Amino acid sequence: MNYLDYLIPLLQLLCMNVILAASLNVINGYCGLFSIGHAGFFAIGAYAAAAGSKLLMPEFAAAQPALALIACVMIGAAAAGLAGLVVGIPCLRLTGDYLAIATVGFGEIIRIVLLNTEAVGASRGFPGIVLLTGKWFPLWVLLFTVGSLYFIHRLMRSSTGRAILSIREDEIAARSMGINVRFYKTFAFVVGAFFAGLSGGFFAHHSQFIHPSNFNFMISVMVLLMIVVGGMGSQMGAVLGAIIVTLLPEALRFSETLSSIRMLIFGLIMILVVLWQPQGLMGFYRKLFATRKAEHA
Amino acid sequence: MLKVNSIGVSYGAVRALFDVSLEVKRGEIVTLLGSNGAGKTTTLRAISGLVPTNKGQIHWKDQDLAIFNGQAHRIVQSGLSHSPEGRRIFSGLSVKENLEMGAYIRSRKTTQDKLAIEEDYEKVFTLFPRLKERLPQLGGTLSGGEQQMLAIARALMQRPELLMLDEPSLGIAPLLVEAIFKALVEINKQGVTILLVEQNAAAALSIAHRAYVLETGHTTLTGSAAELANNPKIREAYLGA
Repeated sequence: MNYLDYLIPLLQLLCMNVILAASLNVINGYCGLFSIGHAGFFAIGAYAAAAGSKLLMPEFAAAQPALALIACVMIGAAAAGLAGLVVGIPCLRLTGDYLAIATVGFGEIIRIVLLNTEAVGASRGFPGIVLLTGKWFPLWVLLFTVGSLYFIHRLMRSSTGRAILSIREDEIAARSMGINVRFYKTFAFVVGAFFAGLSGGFFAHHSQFIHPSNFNFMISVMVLLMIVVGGMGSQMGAVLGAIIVTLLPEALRFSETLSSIRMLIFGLIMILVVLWQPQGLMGFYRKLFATRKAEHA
Repeated sequence: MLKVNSIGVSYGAVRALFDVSLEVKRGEIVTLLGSNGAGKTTTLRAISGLVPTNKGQIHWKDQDLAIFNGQAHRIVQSGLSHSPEGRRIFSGLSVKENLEMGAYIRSRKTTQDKLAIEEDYEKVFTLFPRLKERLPQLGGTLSGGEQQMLAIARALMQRPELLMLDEPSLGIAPLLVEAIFKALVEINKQGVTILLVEQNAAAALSIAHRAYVLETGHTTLTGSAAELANNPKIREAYLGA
């Protein structure tokens, strides 16, 4: 087997996970909301994009695969963003644990609705999604990943980003600074949902077959894990976390003795990270950097 | 300028304010005295829309604050700043960024707007030179007194007409308390009206024009600062003499 046949899909998956982690990081890391229903937005993006390419524009997709791919992932992202708005407006009145529970509930509702919707294949799944753009697909994934990261990076350095950060830092202080807390919370939530949907759109085309079980609660947990390992509230951390959580189980696959217990080792590493470095890898990096600075002073 | 007319506030089943009335006129320093749990902080929160009232009215510059429907950010934009209890600076942001957050609501459309903001930076640095030395430092690494200075400076960056301060002397070294109260007098001279909530009654009465006394959610006493400072009851209850 050509090793590229293994490596390229793996790297595509990595890119999608990077977008997922970066998008959850906007909600959990930057805005300080505790959301663990990200698989729901991922699912909406995937199903909306799949429906777009298979049901809405099959002829267009055959004629103009690149444009159709862009249109489909944008449909997925927009659908997820809209879902973020619909879920966010009532749920963001909640804080902390309560918000977490509500978002878990939302994620499960999405999965169960998909599981029972005949139009998208219900429990049989959604087959026959064409891999638009064929061999160019990985490049499109990469392009959109870099684009998403750049967009979020710029957003967080704008005054909107500053408002979002201030809510995480201290909500009451943010309100007394004249920041419309409810608006910016919803905004951050929609941005996070939008990019999760974008990632879902690529996932649908990457897998060519999607099933509600691809979007179960463990996916939400895995994305949360990425940003915890990488360090909440750091874009670099989200990227690093996605890389580790995606590639580590794969790397362990190659060792004959370790491959059978690789998920065990993986779980152990996660526990150790949280025990010793709860600020994540970027927290560790910052600490190193800070001590060096102190030495210089 | 600000007229609070017999407001009440409840936290769930617990009533915090029963009947609080007070008035602040343009250019004044008014202080609100009272023991723990009297409702001083709640009064400020009710004015700035952080907690809803269940009776009475608040008039601000001839309009009923009810039109803002408890949206705190719109009340701030109307020129009423609240520096909340416990400083609440953004500890993960630098001193400079904290001040920028203060200026968040300001318009930056014209060069004049931008100049006005620059001017206000200079003004707060003249008031609190320490902040200028610490601009790149994270807010959380400042001392308590410096954090309080930052909280006041941040509120001033909103260019408020009325500045409400909640316990600026709380947990701060006496020397810094003196510096902060001096700064408050200076701020008032520059045309900012101040409503000050303070446990340190002696210090508050020394700079205030008028004062109100709050007891278990009722305003019970009012008068000029000098009158209250000489009132035997007040001297016994709050001034420890």
